Amino acid sequence: MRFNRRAALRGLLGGGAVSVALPFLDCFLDANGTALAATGQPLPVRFGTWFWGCGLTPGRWIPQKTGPGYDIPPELKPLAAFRDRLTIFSGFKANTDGKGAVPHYTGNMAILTGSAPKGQGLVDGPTFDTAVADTIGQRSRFRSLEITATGNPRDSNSKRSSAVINAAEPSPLAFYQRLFGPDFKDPNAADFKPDPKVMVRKSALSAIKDQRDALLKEVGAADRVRLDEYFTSIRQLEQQLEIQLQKPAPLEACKVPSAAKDTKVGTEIDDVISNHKLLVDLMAHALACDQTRVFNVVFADAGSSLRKAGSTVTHHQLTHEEPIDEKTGCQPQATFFVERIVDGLQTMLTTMDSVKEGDGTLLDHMMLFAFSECSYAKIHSLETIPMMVAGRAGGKLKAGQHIAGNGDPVTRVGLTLQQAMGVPISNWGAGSMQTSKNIPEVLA
Amino acid sequence: MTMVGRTLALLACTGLALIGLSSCGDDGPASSGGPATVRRLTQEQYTAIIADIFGADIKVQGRFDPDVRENGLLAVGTSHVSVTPSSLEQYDGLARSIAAQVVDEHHRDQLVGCKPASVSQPDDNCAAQFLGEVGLQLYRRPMKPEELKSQVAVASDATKTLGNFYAGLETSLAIMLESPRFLFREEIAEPDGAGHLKLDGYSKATRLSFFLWNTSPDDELLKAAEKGDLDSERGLARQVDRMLASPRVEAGVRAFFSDMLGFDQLPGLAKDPEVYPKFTPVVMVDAQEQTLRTLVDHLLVQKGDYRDIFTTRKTFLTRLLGSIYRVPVQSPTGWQPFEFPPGDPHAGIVAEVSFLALHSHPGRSSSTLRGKAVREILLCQQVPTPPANVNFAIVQDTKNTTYRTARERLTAHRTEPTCAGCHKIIDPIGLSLENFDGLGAYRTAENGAPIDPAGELDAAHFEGAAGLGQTLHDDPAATACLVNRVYAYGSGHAPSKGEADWIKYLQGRFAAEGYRLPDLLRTIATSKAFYKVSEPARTEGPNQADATSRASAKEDRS
Amino acid sequence: MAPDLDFGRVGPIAAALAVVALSIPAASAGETRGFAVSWFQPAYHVGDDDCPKGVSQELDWTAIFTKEGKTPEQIKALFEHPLSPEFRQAALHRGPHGEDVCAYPESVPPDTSWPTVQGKVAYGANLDGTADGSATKLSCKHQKFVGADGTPAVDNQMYRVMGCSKIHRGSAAKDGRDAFGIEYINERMREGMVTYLIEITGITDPKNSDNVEVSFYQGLDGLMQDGAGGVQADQTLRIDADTRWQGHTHGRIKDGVLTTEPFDFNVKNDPVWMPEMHFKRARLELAFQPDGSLKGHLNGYQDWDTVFWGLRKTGFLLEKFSAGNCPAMYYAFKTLADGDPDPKTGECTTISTSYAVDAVPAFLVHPQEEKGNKTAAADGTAEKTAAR
Repeated sequence: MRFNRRAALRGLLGGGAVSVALPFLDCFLDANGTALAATGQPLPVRFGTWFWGCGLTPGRWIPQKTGPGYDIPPELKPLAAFRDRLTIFSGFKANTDGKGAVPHYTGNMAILTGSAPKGQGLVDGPTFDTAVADTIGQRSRFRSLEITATGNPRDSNSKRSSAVINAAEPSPLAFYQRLFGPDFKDPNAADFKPDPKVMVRKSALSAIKDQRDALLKEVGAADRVRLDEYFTSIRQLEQQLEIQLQKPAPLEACKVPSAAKDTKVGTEIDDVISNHKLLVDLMAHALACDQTRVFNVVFADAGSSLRKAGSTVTHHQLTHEEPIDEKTGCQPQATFFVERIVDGLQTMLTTMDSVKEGDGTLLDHMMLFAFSECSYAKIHSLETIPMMVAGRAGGKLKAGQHIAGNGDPVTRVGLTLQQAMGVPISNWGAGSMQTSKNIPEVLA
Repeated sequence: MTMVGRTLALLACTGLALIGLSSCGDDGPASSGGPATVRRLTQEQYTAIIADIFGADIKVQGRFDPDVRENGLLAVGTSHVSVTPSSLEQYDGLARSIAAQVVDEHHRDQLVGCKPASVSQPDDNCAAQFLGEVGLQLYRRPMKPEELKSQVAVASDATKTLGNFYAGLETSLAIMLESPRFLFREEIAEPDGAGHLKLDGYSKATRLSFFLWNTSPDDELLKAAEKGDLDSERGLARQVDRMLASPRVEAGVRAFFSDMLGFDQLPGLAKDPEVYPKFTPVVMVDAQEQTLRTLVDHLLVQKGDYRDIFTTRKTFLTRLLGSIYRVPVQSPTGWQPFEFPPGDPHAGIVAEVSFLALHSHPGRSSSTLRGKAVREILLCQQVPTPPANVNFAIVQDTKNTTYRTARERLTAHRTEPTCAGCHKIIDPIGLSLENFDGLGAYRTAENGAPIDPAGELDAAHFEGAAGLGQTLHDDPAATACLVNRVYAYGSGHAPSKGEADWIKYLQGRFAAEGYRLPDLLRTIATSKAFYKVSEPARTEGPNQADATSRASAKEDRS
Repeated sequence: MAPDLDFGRVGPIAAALAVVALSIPAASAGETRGFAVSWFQPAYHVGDDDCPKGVSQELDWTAIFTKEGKTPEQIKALFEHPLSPEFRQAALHRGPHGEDVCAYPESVPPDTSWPTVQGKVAYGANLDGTADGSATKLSCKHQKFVGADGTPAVDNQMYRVMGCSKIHRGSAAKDGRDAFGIEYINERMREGMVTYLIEITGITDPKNSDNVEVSFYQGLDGLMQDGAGGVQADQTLRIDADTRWQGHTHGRIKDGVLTTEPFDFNVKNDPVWMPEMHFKRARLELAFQPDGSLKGHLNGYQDWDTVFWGLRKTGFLLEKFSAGNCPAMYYAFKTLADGDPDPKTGECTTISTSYAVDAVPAFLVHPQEEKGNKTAAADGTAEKTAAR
């Protein structure tokens, strides 16, 4: 589509403040040709991840039955109301192919990149949320949004390479500012006036883009890749500005939230719970207002630093040090944190489900991949790592089943989800985790 | 290699050079050089440069992407990180904010060196003058004519749309502040006339300036680059000596040691207030400053022997630190020189709070973390990560309570075969420091039981921090490690095979000349090898054999 | 049981060396230990039956204004602006001829309404030496308490006067330390309003030393606070050279408890509530804790006019916001004071009291050292004189 928006806008700007209702152009279609509209049209399907470290308690989260209508095990009780929109994947494992298991890192990176990483901080390829973002996130203001409830911007699993990590936003106030601050264009606003300053900024970016070819010729191969990442970021900035210059199509479900408060961020469990609630609430608004279609949430970092107020004993520390209570068969204090985590997931689902959208809710138009990085944290086990998918994904998924992996690699799940979101791949993963076998039971 | 051996090697090398059989002359053996790097500015550098160019009252407020540590240095990580969409958003916000301040009514007379003919119309001459001048400083080399033309056009177009010259200038300046030519220190190579490549003049100036002063080249250095002075031995030496004599070299030395010692992790340090009521975040601010002052004074001001940093009893204290070390500090405010008495366990930087508190847990000390830190940070030795399929369950005995003593935990480390291999080369080092608790305060007993400060490092057996300090003093690996780190810091990459001989030469000279840091800096900065560029083929990414990212929270439970 | 002293706290070199301060006046051998006072407040015991009529209440302004002849409308108008000069004027100037009753408490007839402590238990010591509180050359007749630790015949008339003051009565769980008027003043001290220092010299054995010298000093530097809400132990603090605010006495340490001879000394305190305190025949009783800190009491007499002056000069602050009553409190002090009778009037001018005292180890810098030490600091040598 090569509509010359600049010409149109120049004409409008010259005439002062004008109420503009631009025609509904196919610029407003996403790559799959799905239209944005208030009612009667298919709504975009969103993809999100929700992550926590240190797994769940063995024996307490895997349903006995497989298939739909599965029994709810004790640790998943808070999620019971969502059972029919929640698929549980058990029994899938991450294979390291001799590379050595990096504690609280190999599991989540294997799940997200399809390959066990060679060492701490390294990845062999991008995490698959970026592939989904490249597929469906081209035309939204943000290609993807990352948030964390832990207070630390480094707690993000979303990477394009070992050195290119999408930092997560820990502060509800800063997140609000980023989403709904001066650069936000309300899709339901009555009139629309393209901001000349934004126009000027977008136009000025051409001076940087013009440097690209010369710059890339000057540097070696590895640095070319890094600089290309920079220029990709410039393109995204440019697209954000472009979108700000267009009147967005109205969205019934979009309601601008009231301003967020400045909160204390950190790993104390009460702060994590309250910041998580504020952040995912803002994320729900952002999704309803189509600011992004791909998002990543971290509730607890991979080496779960969650702790009680005033204490420095972390969930992670407890998983290794706390003795197992003979009566219950689990570690009581560590389980406290596991339960808060599952409560957090319930809050996430409830928040997404509370936004009415079209004939259902935001959760119905979403594929939310919730996962951890190990199964039994005490021994860093990579077998049967908890993975779940919530939501109906706009009908792309057959929701609400328990799928038993029987030792298959975790990549089968990643492959399936990417395919469901339209990423054009037929196989995925590396080494013994390479697979072309998706999970047909969940594909609609 | 002994000192005698090194000296002989140095003489031999020089001797060979005299008879033309070796190219090692003053400069040592040939080096392949390393890659021409492209290094992203750190937060500290970005902020310093804005202050240098536009003045200290320009506010720099925004979030910077975290730096990444590779091969033990954030400085090496800068060669591998990029700019993600979310960090570009931040840079964009920063750029607009800085540009707005520079052209506002308070600053424009002082910072914009010319006035437009009309405030509401473009003025390409004034715009070119300002943007060209700023461009030289921001990009660390003169702008290409087409680049300047492009920026002037941006200013002009923006002025036409917005109706104000300064708004147009602001728009163009903001673009320059988020340009890759500013955010990345791109090194450009050119033929060196001997069949190899070297950094071009402006790249030399940049590498040199960040090496010694941790900021971009000043006007005099840029002029020297322009005139080609940096390509002559004398011209280069003149600039190096000027920079080494300047008070600004302290900033460079501080930046180096902050990086090497991992001080970026100090602000986030948490301690259990019940166990360490004396701890507040200000303690770590003072602790960092104490170590940096100690190092700057000993290495730069006194031009002392590097090895003595492990044994010196001379340091600087505030009253707050005095309360941690339990010594009186006379001056009510500020810093006071202080010398611990002979025989006192507070000897060397490994007995300082900045080392001890950083390498501990929130509620207790850690021999393992300290031993690992000694090996990795001070001796440049890799400690392997736990092997695949380690079953941590075997370490646990259900009869034990959560809080076992350090002694008991370490027994398990040493007796379990799968654990002992690594732990026996780490824990015994840290055991010598157990007289210092998790905050760095001295104690003779733990839970009523007396502490035995016996320690081991390879073949050496010793007692306490003083013993460890003396062992490090005597260990050639410590000084060799420093040379390695300084070189990697300056060049932005871990030394490659082709540079190994030259690094050995550097280490030999460092020893022969008394282990003085300014001399080492000078030797590197005036050498040809430092500016040599190896042939294009190089590693694609981080050096994966020994990448140790400490970006995330400590995962070791010991 | 004597508390254990943890030698781990004292560095091995300092412990081994017999350190003598250059400027300590008495030529005594033995160790010197310095302390920074972290708690210095009246010790008001909290028992169930102390205040049968309840704690003091804010005065009935309506009744007072009515008595002054104000109409209900005028009173209503005054209540709209309780902080106005008009309210203040009407409230304080209720003497028969418009006298400010806080400035001139004797301008009104004796007011017996102030609630005094009726309980039997108090902190403190037997100061007058009598078993029943009968008058002596240095004391007036008064009622005794039983000590909180069982000590018989305890004198603490200050507690009797102030123990039912609303803002001075705390909770039993916190041993009364959470009373607003008490916690507030101590917090000000911790934040740097005033610094008290204690120095003990001549310690031959930390558990038992027959002859030690004890000094109570003011400090020039504000206290450094720690990360847990207390005072940072082992900080360095300068001693105020002004001898008007110092006290010196002898003492002994027995089974880890220091007790001193009675001594007189004055201290500066809160400029609003207690600018000065004048202690007479006060003695310190401080127990060494395992962590090296001190915990105990200062028991003795305190000039009550300076105490009452501190309270009443706040006037409106005392009566409107602190449930005080100038004439009634004046009467209580006057009639219950039990020390140092005025030779002419026979009325006691001081009042028995007990202060709770906590102190953490600190390095104290004597004034001479500080001057002399300018050279010492220059050559970087450690200052040994204040080591423990």
